[in-house]
Amino acid sequence: MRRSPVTAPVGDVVPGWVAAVAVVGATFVVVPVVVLGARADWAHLPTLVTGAAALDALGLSLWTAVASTLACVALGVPLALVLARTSFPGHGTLRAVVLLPLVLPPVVSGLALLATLGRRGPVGGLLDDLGLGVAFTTTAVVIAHTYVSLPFLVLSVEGALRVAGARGELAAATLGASANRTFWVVTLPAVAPALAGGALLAFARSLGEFGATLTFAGSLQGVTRTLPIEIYLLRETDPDAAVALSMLLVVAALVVVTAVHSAGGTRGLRTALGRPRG
Amino acid sequence: MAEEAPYAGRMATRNDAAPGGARLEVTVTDPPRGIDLSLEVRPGRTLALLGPNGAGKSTVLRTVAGLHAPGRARVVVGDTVLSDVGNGGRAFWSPPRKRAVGLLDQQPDLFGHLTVRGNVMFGPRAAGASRRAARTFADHLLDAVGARDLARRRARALSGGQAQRVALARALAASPRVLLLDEPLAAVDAPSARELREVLRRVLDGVTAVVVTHDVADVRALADDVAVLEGGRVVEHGPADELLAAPRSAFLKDLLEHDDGADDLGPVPHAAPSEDGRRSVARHAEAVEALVAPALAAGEPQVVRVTELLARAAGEAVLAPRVLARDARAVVGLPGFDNSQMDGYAVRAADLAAATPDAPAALPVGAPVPAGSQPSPLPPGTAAPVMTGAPLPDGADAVVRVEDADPPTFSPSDVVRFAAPVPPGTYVRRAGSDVAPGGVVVPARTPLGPSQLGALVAAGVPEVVVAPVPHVLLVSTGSELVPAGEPLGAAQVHDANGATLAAALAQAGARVSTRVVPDAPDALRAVLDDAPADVALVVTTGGVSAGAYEVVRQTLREVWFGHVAVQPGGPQGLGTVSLGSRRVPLVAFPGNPVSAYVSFELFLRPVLARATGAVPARRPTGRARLAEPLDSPAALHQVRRGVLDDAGRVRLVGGPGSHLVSHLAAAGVLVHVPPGVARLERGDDVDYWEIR
Repeated sequence: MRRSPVTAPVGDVVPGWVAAVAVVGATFVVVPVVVLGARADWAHLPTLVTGAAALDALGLSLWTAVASTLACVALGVPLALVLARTSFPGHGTLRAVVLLPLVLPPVVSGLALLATLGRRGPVGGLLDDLGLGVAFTTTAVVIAHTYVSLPFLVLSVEGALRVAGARGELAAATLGASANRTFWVVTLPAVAPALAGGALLAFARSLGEFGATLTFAGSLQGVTRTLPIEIYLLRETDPDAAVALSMLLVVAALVVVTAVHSAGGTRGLRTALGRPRG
Repeated sequence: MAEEAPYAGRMATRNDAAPGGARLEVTVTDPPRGIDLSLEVRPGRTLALLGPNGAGKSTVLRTVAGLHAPGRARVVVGDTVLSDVGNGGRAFWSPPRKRAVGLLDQQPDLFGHLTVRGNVMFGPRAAGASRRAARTFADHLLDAVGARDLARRRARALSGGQAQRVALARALAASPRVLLLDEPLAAVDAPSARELREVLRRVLDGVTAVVVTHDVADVRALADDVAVLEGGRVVEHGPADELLAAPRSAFLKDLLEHDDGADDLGPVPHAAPSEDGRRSVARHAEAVEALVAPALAAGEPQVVRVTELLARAAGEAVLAPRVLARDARAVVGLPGFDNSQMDGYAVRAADLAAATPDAPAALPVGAPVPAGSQPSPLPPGTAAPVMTGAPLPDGADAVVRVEDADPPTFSPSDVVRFAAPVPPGTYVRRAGSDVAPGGVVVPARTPLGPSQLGALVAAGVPEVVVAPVPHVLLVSTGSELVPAGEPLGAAQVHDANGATLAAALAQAGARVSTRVVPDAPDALRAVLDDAPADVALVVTTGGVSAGAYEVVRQTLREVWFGHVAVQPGGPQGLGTVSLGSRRVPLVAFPGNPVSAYVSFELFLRPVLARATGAVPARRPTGRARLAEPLDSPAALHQVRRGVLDDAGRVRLVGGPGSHLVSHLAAAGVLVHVPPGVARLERGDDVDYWEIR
C-alpha cells in the first residue's frame, strides 16, 4: 500500500511562526539566484555562452558528469547492498569511510586522489609505468567526480534498502530463488526509484564539482576544465561571461531538480535526503 | 526449435492429482528461548500449532523454513535432511532456497513492483521453467485461489485479502513439499478471511502443512491434527476432532470456551493487538461480548401468549421479533389428520392392485370429501374425490391425481377408471408427519418472525417462553448537553448521542432509559445509584479520553479504559459497575456522535441483536468499488461513512473522523478500511455494511 503524503493548509498542522521562518529560508535561497540573473547581460548571453572555451567547458562538464554517474551506479549499488544487508567486523567503519567525501572539503578529496593516483603516488606511478597515467587527464575528472558523488548514491540506495527491509528477499529465498536472481528481480526493482533519485543527485553533484577536480585534474581547456572551473577563472577577467555561464549552470540545475520530481524519483530523493547520515 | 516440455512443477494439491505431501519431522532445542520439542506431521496432513504468544510456534516454523538456526535442531522432510545441527556429527543446514518449504506469513510480502501473475511465476521461473510454462502454471494456481481476474494487477495495488490469496498461489507455485502458514488470516478482514479459509481448506487437502493460528475457526476448517505448545513444549498433540471434542490443556479449553463457533461479527479484522498497546477491533468486540452477552441472557425469561404476540405484530408498525428462550413444542401434530397432497381420488390401494392400461380398475365414484369436516369412511371398491388439504376418509390409504384418472377431470361421472396400481401412502400427508405432538416446532434461540408465528399457531402452541427485553441505561455525559426537545442555553447543544443510541438500542431490541449528566463525578454516581432496578447494561457516551473533565473515566475506577485500533472511536471503556447490590456491565463509548455510533455498530449491536433477536446480528455486507480515493492510518481499522451511488460505487460522506452528524445522517453504509491499508485508490474494492 502506498502511503500518501500528509498535506494540510498552513495553520492546521504548521504553526504560524514556522511558516514565517520558512518564508525567510526560501527567500534566503532564491534571492541571490534572482539577483545573479538580474546581473546577467541577457542581450549578449548567446554570444557569451557560445565561445569556444565556454562550449568546451559545458560539453566536458556534461559528459564527465554522465560518466561519473554511471560509475557511481556501478560501484554504489553493490556497496549499498552490502552495507544494508550484511554485518561484519568493521561494518560501521566502512560505512563512515564511504560517506567521508560527503563531509571532506573537496580540495582535500582532490589532494587524496592526487597523492594516490598522481605520478608520484603508489598507484599512479604504477599506472604511469604501464602508460595508463591518469593525472591531469579527462579520466581524472571522472574519477574526481565519482569520488565526491558516490556517497549520494550509496546513501540513497542504502536508505531505500533499509526501508524496504529484507522480507521480500526472504520470501524470494523460500520460493527457491538464487541470490543472483533475487538481486535482479526483487531487490533492484524495489529500490529503482531511490536509485534514480540517487543517480540524479550524483549527476548534479558532479556537474557542480570544483575543488577536487581542480586539485586532482587541473585546468586544461577541453581536457579538464569543467564549467565551474571556467566560471571561476572568468570571474577575474570577464565577469559578464562568468555570470552568463553561471546562469547556464542554474538552468542545468533546475532541469535536474525538476527531472527528479517529475520522473517519479521524488520518493527516492526523499529517501536520500530524509535519511540521517549516521 | 525443441518441443517445449510442460513445466514439471508439482501441483501440490490432491485435487490436481498431486503426489501428496512429504512427512515432516522437526526437533528443536533452543535453550535461550526455552524451547525443547519434537513434532511430526504425517504426509498430506495439516497440523495446527496452537499456544500462547512466546510458546515457540514461530520458532518452529522459522527453523523448518531455514530462517532460524537454534542450538540443536533436526528437520527432515520426506527422506531429505534439511537441518541437523547440534546432534553430534557434522552440522548440516540447507539454505532456505534449497528446502522446498513454502512459507505463508501474516504479511503477504508480495513483490510490489511485479504483477500478480509475475509474483506467482517467480517460483517456477527460479526453478528454471520457461516463461510460457510458468505463466500457464501461475494462471492455474490463480484460478485455484480465485484470483485469476487479478493476474494483471500490480501487486502493490491489492487489498489485504487479495494479496494473501496471491501469496498463497505464489507459495504453492514453488511446489513446496511442506507449506508453513504463520497466522495466515490474522491481518485479513473477516469476510476475506472466511473466503480465504475456504480456499485454504481446498488447497491444503493432501498437502503437508503446519498452520500457526489463534483462531478456532482455522483449526476446525484446516487442521487434521492439533499440537498445543506451552512454554516451548508440546503439551497436547492429537487428531483435531478428538482434541476439539475433549481438550486437555488449559490453553485449548480456554480457546474453545471463547469460541462461539462462528465469527458472526461481519467484516471485523482479526488483527493481532498492535504494538502501541491498542486493542484490535476484534479483541475488543470479543471482550464486550464476553462481558455483556451473559448479563443479557441472565434476565428472567418471560412467558408470552402467542395470541398476544400476534396482536402486537398486527398493532405495531414494525414487528420486533422476540427470541425464544426455550423450545416451543407442538400441542397438536402437524398435520393434525391424514390429508391429501393433491386434487384427486381417495382410494384403497388394494382396489387398484390389478389395474393395467388394458384392464383398468373401474370404481364407482363416492361422495366428494368436503374440507373442514370429518368425511364418512370410504366403502371398499369406491373412489372419493378429494381436494388438496382435505382429510382422507377412513379406509382410504392413497390418492390418485385427477389427471392420472379416466376421465382426467372431476366430471359428474359415476365411474372412474385407473390404469395403474398405486402404492399405499401415495400423495397422503400423514398426521404428525411434519411435527408430532410434543415435538419441537420452533427451537430455542430462534427469533419469532412471521413464519415462526405461523408454525406456533398451526401447532396449537398457546404460549412461549421468550428472552427478556434487556433494559439499557444510556447515559450521555457532558455539561454542554441538553436533552432532546428542551430549549438551548448559551454554548449548549442537544444530546444527539442520546437520541442516536437510544433509537439504535431500541432497534436492536432493548428498552432504553436515557439520562444526561454534567461533567461532575457526583452527578454520574447519582444517576447510577438511582438506576431502575432491572437495568441489565449501562452504556455511557463521552468522558473517556484523558482530558481534565473526563467524568466517566474519573468516576469508574474499576472499568478498563484504553484505546482500540479503530478510527473513529479509539477511546473505549469496558467493565462493571455496582447498581445497588448488583454488578452490571458497562460499556463506555466516546462522546463524538460519529464515534459513539460507529462504536455501537462494531461492538454492541451484534451482542444485543443476538440476545434479543430483534434484528439480524450481522449487518448486510457488500463489497464495491470506491468512487474516490481515501487515506487511512495504517495502524487503525478505519470506518468511513458513505453511500452507494447510482453506479453501485461507494462514495464517502464526510471525513475520516468527522463530527458532523448531518454527514452521518446521510450515510447508508459503513466502509471498512482494515489495518495495514494506508491508502485506497478510486476503483479499489472496499467492504461495507449497510446501516439502513
